[in-house]
Amino acid sequence: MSKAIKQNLADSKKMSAELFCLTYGAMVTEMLKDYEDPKDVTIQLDKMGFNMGTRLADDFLAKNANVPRCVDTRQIADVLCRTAIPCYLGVSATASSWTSGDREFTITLESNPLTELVQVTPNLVSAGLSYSQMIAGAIRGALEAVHFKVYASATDSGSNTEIRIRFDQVLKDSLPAGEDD
Amino acid sequence: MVKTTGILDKSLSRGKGEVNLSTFAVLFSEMVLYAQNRSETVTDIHDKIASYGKQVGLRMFDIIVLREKGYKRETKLLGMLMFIKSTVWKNLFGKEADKLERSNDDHCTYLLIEKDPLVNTYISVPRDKGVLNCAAFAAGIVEAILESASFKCKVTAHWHNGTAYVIQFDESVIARENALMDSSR
Repeated sequence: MSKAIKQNLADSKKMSAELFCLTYGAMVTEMLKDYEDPKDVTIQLDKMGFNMGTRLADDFLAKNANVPRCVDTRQIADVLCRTAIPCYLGVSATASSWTSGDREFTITLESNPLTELVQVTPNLVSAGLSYSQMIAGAIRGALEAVHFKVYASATDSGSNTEIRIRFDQVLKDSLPAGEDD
Repeated sequence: MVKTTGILDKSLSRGKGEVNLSTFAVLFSEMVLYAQNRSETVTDIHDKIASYGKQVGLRMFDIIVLREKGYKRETKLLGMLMFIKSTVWKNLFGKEADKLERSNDDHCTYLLIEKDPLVNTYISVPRDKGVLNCAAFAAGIVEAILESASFKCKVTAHWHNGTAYVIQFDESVIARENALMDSSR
């Protein structure tokens, strides 16, 4: 299976990580100007990440037909770290710090393409800006698209980025609002 | 107080890093959406996207000049345009821009033409906003690069044989360029 995944990685189109990084930076800068509170920027980044995640989940499933259905959080973490994150961010990731009966874990990105050319000032961090929150939001969105409700938050430390994920529940299929009688 | 290593303490990467195009595509679409939600008119959206591009252009120019040309910057207008068409475009989008033309009607106007800009690949423009071209982002990048190399200009993106970036130089730039040509003759 891993060979097939490598094949898929090679097939997908690539682009410059620097343009990606600077584009994201330009957007965050603009949002910091638009919103008064850096906390609101974090919330907004999380929402945008969520939207991106739901779309990337479709893209991911369309391109990786051989990914098995996950039954527990260990498996979710495995697919995220081994396939999804290397595929979309081009970096490796590891899952660790399992707590509360495997319901919470931390994904560590050893290098983060979003912060490659970026320095976030300490006063913004202490005011509540989580620069890489978009990745956490994207994971939340992608997992929600496959019916896992999780909470995710990101922290940057040096060149590492840690994403803490808390599993909440498996969502049930439900009819869209207004269609049940 | 913990002393952290700042970004300037690290050496500059060689810029070979790559990410998946899909990731950029969804990020860019979120950005366009954000600009759209905060603007009233199509011109506003255009300007906003261009201003994001400028932020990128300013920084990208420094990196590329440092990495590819050993701090040396072009001073001639045509050299600068060729540098953008080939080196900058290759660094940003992995290929050269398609064509560089000079307008027949106006000696201050140059056109940089790209059939299929990367940023437009995944954006579908609604019919009521037909004139919106999200390559305004790339236009912003070009404008920032030219301005920071002291070629005062205005760059806009239009639909014409694909996408055309219309580069309208300030009169003074052209006059300076002509004087430079005369003195070297």
